[in-house]
This record gives sequence, C-alpha cells and structure tokens, in this order.
Amino acid sequence: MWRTRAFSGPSGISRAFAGAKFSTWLISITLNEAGRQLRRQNILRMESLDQQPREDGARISPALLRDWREIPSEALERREVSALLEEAIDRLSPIYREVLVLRDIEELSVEETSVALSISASSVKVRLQRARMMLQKGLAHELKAVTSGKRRWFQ
Amino acid sequence: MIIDCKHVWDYISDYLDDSLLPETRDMVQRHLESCEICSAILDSTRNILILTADDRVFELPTGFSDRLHARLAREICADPDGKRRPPQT
Repeated sequence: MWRTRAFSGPSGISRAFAGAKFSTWLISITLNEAGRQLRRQNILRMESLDQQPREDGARISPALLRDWREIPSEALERREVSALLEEAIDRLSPIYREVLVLRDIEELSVEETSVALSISASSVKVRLQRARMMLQKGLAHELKAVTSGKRRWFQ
Repeated sequence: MIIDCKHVWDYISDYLDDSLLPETRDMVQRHLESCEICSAILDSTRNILILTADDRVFELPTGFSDRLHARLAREICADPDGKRRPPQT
C-alpha cells in the first residue's frame, strides 16, 4: 500500500508541501506511487523525449458547432455518453489527462494541482486549456451524434 | 481592441475559470457577444466539463467506499505506529 511510502519519505516532502492541504499531498503521493507501479509492471508505454507534447505547440482548433447551450444532464442517463467521456479522457496524453482530472473532476484549485504535480501554475493553466480544447474537439460532434433528437440539448 | 476567433479559443479555459485579467475578460466577452461560433464553442466546452464533473460519469463500484475504509482500518490496526514495511503487491 502507498500508505507506507506516504509517511516514510524524506523530510524534504514536508517542506515541499508546507501549507498544502493533506489531500493535495496524498494525491501527489498516489500519482507517484501509481506511476512507479506502472513502470515496474511495464504497463506504461514510455514516451520518447522527441515526442514530448509541446506546451507551446500547434494551437488546437475546437470543433465548430452552433447552439449548444443547454446542460445535457439527461444525456448522462445513457451509458454511451459516459462511455464516450471516459474514452475521450483516456485518449488524452498523461500530462493533459492528469491536469484535467485533478482540476475538473477532483476540483482541485490551480495552486493545489500545481503542488500535486510539481509543475508551475502557468503550466497547469496551459495544459488545462489544451486538455479542455482536445476534449471539446473530440467530443462535440460525437456527443451531438449520440444525442441527436434531444431537442433540449441542441436547439 | 478587437481579437480574432483563434485568440478567443486560447482564452476559453481561463474564461470558464474566471481567471482572466479584467481587460482581457471584457475583450473576450465582447467577441463572444458578436460571434455565434465562439459562443457555441464556449457552451460546448462548458457542457462537456459539466458532464465530466458529474458523479455518474466516474461512478465508484457499489461498496467500494466501505471496502476502502475497511482495508485502511485493517492496515492501520496491523501497523499502528506507521513503521515502514515492504510494499504489498
């Protein structure tokens, strides 16, 4: 269990996380430990340094569509919508996925995310912007297709 | 100052988080008011994030929380002083 590692790290950990919430610390440890386990099991496909996603890389063009104003809450009743969301998030590169999950699912603040991932606040914002745009691009049309006929969603 | 759509797309994420500087936010706001395409992109992004944050998307299996707490309690009882042990696999 990660618990053993969580409380046995060097004293530097307590300095690095000084002032951070316990949950931020815990998330950081969990991410590191999960990464360590994955590497050990050779499940994680390593990314070449040459192919590191560039934060200042090409701009992502969002999907162009009109009139998507209503909150599609009833759409979630349909399993395929949540499956689409999960698949789209899985398709993101790890550096984008982890920021999106911490910010938009775990609802950590920019500062907490920055501490948990040991990256700067501006990197959190840039990665989040790209992650959200990639989700929008990947999902807008698919969701529209799945929910066609849902007039309340797409007027 | 007028900005084009592509620049607005760069600001959508921070706009949703309300973390833009006031003058930038106003500039984006003015563009959104007159641009149907960008306001649809904003709406779709916001809706996708609302869906993503919905608990029903990443639902924990039934009883997961109970099993987690039981497991943690067992670990803590087995090792009350928090000494390091080899990780269990």
